Amino acid sequence: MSSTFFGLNIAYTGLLASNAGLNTTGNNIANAETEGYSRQTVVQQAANALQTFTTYGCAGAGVETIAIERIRDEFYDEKYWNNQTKVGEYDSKQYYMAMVEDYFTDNTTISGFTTIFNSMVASLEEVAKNAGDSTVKTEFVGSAVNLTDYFNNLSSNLSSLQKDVNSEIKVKADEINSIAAQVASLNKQINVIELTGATANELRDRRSLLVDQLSAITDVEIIETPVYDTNNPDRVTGANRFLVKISGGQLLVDTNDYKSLVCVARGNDEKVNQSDADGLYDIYWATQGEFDRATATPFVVNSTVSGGEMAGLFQMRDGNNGEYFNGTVTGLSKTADGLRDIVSMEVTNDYLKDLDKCTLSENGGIINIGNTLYHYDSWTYNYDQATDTYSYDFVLSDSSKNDVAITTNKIGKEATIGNEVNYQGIPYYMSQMNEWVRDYAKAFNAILTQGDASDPTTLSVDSNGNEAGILFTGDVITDNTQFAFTVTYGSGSATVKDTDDSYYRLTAANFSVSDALVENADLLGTHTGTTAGQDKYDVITDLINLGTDKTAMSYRGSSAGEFLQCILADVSLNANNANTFFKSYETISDTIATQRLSISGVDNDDEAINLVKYQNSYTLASKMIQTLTEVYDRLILSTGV
Amino acid sequence: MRITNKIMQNNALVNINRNKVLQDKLNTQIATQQKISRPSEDPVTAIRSLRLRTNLAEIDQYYSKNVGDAENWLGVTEDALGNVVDAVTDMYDQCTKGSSSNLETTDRETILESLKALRDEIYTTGNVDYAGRNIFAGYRTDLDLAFTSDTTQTFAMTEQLSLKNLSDITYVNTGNLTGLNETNYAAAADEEAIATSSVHSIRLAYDNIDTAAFSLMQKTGVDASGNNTYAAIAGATSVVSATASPSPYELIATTGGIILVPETGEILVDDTVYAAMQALPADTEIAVNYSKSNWEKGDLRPEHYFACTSGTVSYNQDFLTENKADAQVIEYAVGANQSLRVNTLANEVYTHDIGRDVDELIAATEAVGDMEDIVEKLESMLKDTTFVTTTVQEKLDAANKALTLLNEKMQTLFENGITSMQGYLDQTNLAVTNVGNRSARLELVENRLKAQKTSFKALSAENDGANITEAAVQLSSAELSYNAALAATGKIIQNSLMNFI
Repeated sequence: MSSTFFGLNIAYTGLLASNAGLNTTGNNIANAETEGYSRQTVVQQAANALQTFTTYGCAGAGVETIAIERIRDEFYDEKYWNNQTKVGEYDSKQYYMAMVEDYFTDNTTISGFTTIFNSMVASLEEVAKNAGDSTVKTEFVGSAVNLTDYFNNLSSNLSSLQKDVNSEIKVKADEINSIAAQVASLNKQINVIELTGATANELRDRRSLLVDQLSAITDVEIIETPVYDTNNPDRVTGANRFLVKISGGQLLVDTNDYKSLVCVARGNDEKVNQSDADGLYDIYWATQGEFDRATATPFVVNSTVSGGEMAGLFQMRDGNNGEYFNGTVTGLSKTADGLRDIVSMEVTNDYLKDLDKCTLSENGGIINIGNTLYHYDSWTYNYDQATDTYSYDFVLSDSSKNDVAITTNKIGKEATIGNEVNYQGIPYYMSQMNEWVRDYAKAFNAILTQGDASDPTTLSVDSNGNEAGILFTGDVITDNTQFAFTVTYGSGSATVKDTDDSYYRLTAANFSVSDALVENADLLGTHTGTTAGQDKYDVITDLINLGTDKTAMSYRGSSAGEFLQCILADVSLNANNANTFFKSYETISDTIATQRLSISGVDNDDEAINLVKYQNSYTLASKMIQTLTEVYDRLILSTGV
Repeated sequence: MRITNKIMQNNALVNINRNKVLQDKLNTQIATQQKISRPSEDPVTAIRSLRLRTNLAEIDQYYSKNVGDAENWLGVTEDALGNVVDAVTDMYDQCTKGSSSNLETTDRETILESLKALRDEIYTTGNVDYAGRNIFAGYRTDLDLAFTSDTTQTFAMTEQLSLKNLSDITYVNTGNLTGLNETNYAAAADEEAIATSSVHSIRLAYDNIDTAAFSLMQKTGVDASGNNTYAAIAGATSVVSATASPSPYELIATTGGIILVPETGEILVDDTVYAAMQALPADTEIAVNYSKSNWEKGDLRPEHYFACTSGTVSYNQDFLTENKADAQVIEYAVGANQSLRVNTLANEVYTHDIGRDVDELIAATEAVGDMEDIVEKLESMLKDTTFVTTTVQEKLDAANKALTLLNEKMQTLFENGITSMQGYLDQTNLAVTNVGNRSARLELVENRLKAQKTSFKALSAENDGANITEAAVQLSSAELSYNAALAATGKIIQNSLMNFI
């Protein structure tokens, strides 16, 4: 037979359970609008029955309140994170592509390439009709200056956009660092609580929220494994090992430990692309604040496996459409003074064979030869027509920059500069502009300077019969001079050094019109034959045709005047893609978020019912106690006395 | 599925936002009248828009500028050519008058004066300019067609001729009658000495050329680098002044060879040379190297016509090669790959022959006048008893014979002049017709460009322009659904079970 006061105990457990239920309901209602909060529920079960050794067997012993648990399905978390990574990537891309799109805009209100190019051709038409007149020529030279200004402007806009992207990369790296520190700290607290057997609901919610944020910045992989007692391998300690890996499986947080990212600005002699902005960041891993660049592991953002805003930003900043320098080392030699090594390498990619498409920096850089990084000071491009081979010779820096000297076992190894980034980012548009500018200036100048001084009847001359010079050139920033393009390539064998006065050094940034012609437009070449007469205009006709004639100049299979069509197709398709993907991933994100809310979200109606439910059970439990009080009253005070 | 209040709120917000995005897009379309505001909204439309604008810009250049400029140029040319036609017609009339056998002295003088005036007029119209450019001067629009003042500048030139330029001229030997006066009359030639003779001659483009050495050559072929090769035509060359005695025209019959008469710009050849030249194939090119330093106002500038060199500057050296440069035709672009010639070249209208013909007519007419004066003087001397009557009578007979011969020569020249003036008139009319044809073609081009411009504008509007009606209707319907969504959302988020317990 059970204790006389057993009922009071049962009622008491009911009271406790209802109280816990009421409090939990209160907590849920209070946190209804808290971001990342998962609704909690009281887990209760009937207490073990008491053997009473009576005819009726066991007697129920009330209720046990086991735990307050959060309701959450971590499967949806993982889905959400994976999707957030995509949302983040396309969010960055759509934002920056919209900027690029703005820069390339050409419509009725904003003059872009096509408008400017058309008006230059129109002023050439005027020159053709009146080649001897200086006013029309001055007007034409003015419109040519507009064209060069357009490219200068565009180049500097894209360059500052690249800087913006770069700064954002730093901000994102700092955010990753901050999240990593918080997650590591939360891991510690969670383990402290959970070692006691309790569930750290709020802390886990907070950690999930941090991972939510991290998943937008980069792709994350979360591995949580229980920690077993080393002395008793079957016993679960209650603590968990919590790993966070980012950007294609690079470890960021390991339970209480975390690593951080350090951004190091590249020097002027470390540029990857010729037209890169100054001070782009390379990111390295640092462990607990200790960092040495020479030995640090680089943080890799790979365009195929990495995701998130970080990947989007890197693709915008470094995207070269997969065209990066790569060759096979064929031989080593020494410079004339014997102090520095020269590495020769053969290249086979078409874009490396054509120096007009070259994106190598002219200020030296870093080359990866057989997985070792070397600084190089300069390079030389060679084409041997006899064997039809294209090769580059890199002069490596001396020991002040290169700790390890190159050895012959690197022969036959692959050498690369930069990475293959399969996205049309800013470097891609830069190199496209450079290519067009070089091709156009070269073709234009060739027409202007056609003929040979030895034959006055075919020599291109201005309307006064004097030998004509080039119109399009580039400013040499260092000494206020302009290129004369004395070193040529493109027909037959050629050897071009990066510092030579060749069309390679012409870029959209330094593109300009010859000072001589700006001062005196009458020097513009208009015809062939020194005494053919001032109004002869055969050279001008050729120049006009250069804009539309694909045989005179072909840019990506189109004519010179269709430059913007080609570029705008890239830009608008990329922007369109980014927008479309962003929208669709955002929609998926909404759906997954809804799913999560559906499980973890606090619903007012639910809680209202819980409130009533627990209030009722509390009232009933209290009633039970009151009833028992009356029973004891009767038993103790009124029975048998 | 469990739906929480938060889910309903979120979904309501997402839906309302989508509606707003649509409204914003439609509103932008209506405000800007453009279908798209960013290329990425519709890359195909954006790129097509660029192409259409390029086409429009081209057509605009052709239609608004090139066609107008071509019209102006052709108009100025037509006016100038009209003047030339008038002048040549007048010359033709004067030649007709001059060819009549009984010409009074005053008539002749009138003809003489008007021929001189017309000759000047023709060459002045050649200097007509359009916006400061000489329209008949080919590419050398900064160079007048004819000298505008008397100038001294030495040009060494190669005049390229053909065997057709070798012709016979009539020479009237007036003895020394021309210089006759009261004291030397007795020494004047007698009637027997006065005679006409026929001389083989090549007339050069200019008279009053330098007395320096010249060469008469025939083209023999082309060398390896494409330059013409010439060989001198056999015969002793000499330069003899027209005023020398005996005159070069007599000398050619006696000493023979090849004689250049600098004053008249004629090359005389003897029968042997003539026969040798006639034996050459009919299309053989004959070239004469000579130089000229003294230019009169109205002389056509040699830069426009011949391979010549002045100082160190050479012109038209390609004339002496196999690869002769194309004519100096100025063409204006009036469509994609379509151009229209606007200029008329000097050699289509202004030939040296008109001037040289007129000069010859003037010279012949003046010679008749001079001889008439001598006849008059002799007649008055005959009445004067201080002179020997018989001698004077003899000289008078001689002078009369000379006058008759000179008159005959003049009339023949005038008769020939009628034919050649008719030829020049035909030539000028051809040029006028050509210009007229070009104007007509230009008009067709203009109409077509106008139509093209309209259709490209329409295409462009269709491509870029927003369909306002459609956008407005869509906007209204979007507004309606927006209001409905707001009302519904308002209701949903107000209530929960809490309100009822």
